Amino acid sequence: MPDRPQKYQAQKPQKRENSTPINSFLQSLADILPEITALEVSTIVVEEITPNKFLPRQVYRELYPISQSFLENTGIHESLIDRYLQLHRTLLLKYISLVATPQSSLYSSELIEAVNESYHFLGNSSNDPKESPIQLPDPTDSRETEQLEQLLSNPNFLRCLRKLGEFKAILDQGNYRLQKKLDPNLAEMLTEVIYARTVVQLDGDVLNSYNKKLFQHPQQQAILQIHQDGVNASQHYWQGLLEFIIHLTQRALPKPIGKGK
Amino acid sequence: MARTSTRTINLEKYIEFPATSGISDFSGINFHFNSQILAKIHQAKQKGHRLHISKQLQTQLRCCSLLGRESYFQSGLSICTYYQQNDYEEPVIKSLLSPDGDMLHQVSSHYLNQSQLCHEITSAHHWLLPQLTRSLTWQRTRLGDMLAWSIAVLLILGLFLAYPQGITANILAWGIVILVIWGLQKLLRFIFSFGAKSLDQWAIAQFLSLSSSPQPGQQKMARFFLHHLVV
Repeated sequence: MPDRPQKYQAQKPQKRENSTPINSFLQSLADILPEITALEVSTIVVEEITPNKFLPRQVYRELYPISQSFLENTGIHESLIDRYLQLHRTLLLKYISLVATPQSSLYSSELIEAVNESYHFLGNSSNDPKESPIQLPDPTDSRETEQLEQLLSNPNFLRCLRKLGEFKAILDQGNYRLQKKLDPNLAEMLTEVIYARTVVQLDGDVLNSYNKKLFQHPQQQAILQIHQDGVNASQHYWQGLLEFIIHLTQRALPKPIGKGK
Repeated sequence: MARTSTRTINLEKYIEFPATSGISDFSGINFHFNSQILAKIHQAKQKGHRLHISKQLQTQLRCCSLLGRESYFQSGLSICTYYQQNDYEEPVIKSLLSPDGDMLHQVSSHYLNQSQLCHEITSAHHWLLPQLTRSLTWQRTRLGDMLAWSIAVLLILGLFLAYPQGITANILAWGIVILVIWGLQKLLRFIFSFGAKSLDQWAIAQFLSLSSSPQPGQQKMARFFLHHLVV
């Protein structure tokens, strides 16, 4: 057994240097653009749809303490433990990627070594993410408040938190039903909650993947139809938004990059 | 006007933007359907009509797309469709749309068992989604118009202050004053039109900096911009 890795704490966030009017918008744009590699549409069938409300701090507080022992102590059904741990791991990886990105306001050059150790540690899915060298800022520790505030105002992190919050709500419902023994096959269903996923890559390639559970579902045709409609709608919706952002950016920027045009 | 109304369907009453509390509110948009409205939507869809987007709806859509870190552009937008049946309303489909291209659609298993109804609700939901980004773009900002009016009014006011003896109760004189202000703002607008592009550019750059600011005061100004300064 290796020694328990030393814990590192990210440094206090650095203030952005450039604060000219449009920079914050362009920064948001710069945060999104590298992530736009493909359109990914997923369809999930849930027992109950949770309301629209998204409270970042609350979702963070729910995801932060997740660890093997925490899940066992709180009585999470054993079949769901890995999926809960995966939520914490995904959030932690997002945080580490922000700490390791020089353009990010959370960047800390002193943590590069710890970043690499953490990536290596988290690469092994049997490791408890709570043991990783780099940890998420503790919401109960006042010394880490500033770091947490910075994190919760980062759109990139918020997007990740929001998606994970949705998945946690689905797992919580599953856990409730399993504990109440409402549905004996549920654990099997929840090993993969996404029924259908379509990835439309920027070069035009379309990849469809379907959960084998879909083909055992009595309403498989209906789910496939809903998924296909969702793909079409998402494509048009996203295209409209990107066109709007490009339109806005073009009108707000002083001059085209190529001179003499 | 009549032409527009025959080609669009007004669903404003059924589209809800849950009230924002002022602090971070990431609630999203809710559609509320029942059997009647669902039938109307499908009729409109078949006839190739589009969603009627009023000035108010347009502004609300722009606000939730652009303002603050809770905006669609920053953290994603959640759109949920509720269906009312037998005096009971429940969510049927929810879409979490993220600007990085991740789109998550959740469907209620309860409604999946009523396949025809489920199909009608989800296809109405999906029909509406792309139409929400259609109206985001604006043609121009009205900063030049506002400036022209302000300068014209201020100039005349200044003149009155400089020559208070000129103030009269004569209604004809006041009519002339109003005409002069109107003429002056027209002239100023004509002059400003030469620099319209730069003025527009400056206004949008200012707006974008305000829109992503976490400060409530600046958020209010960005909101004012979307409400009153864009056409």
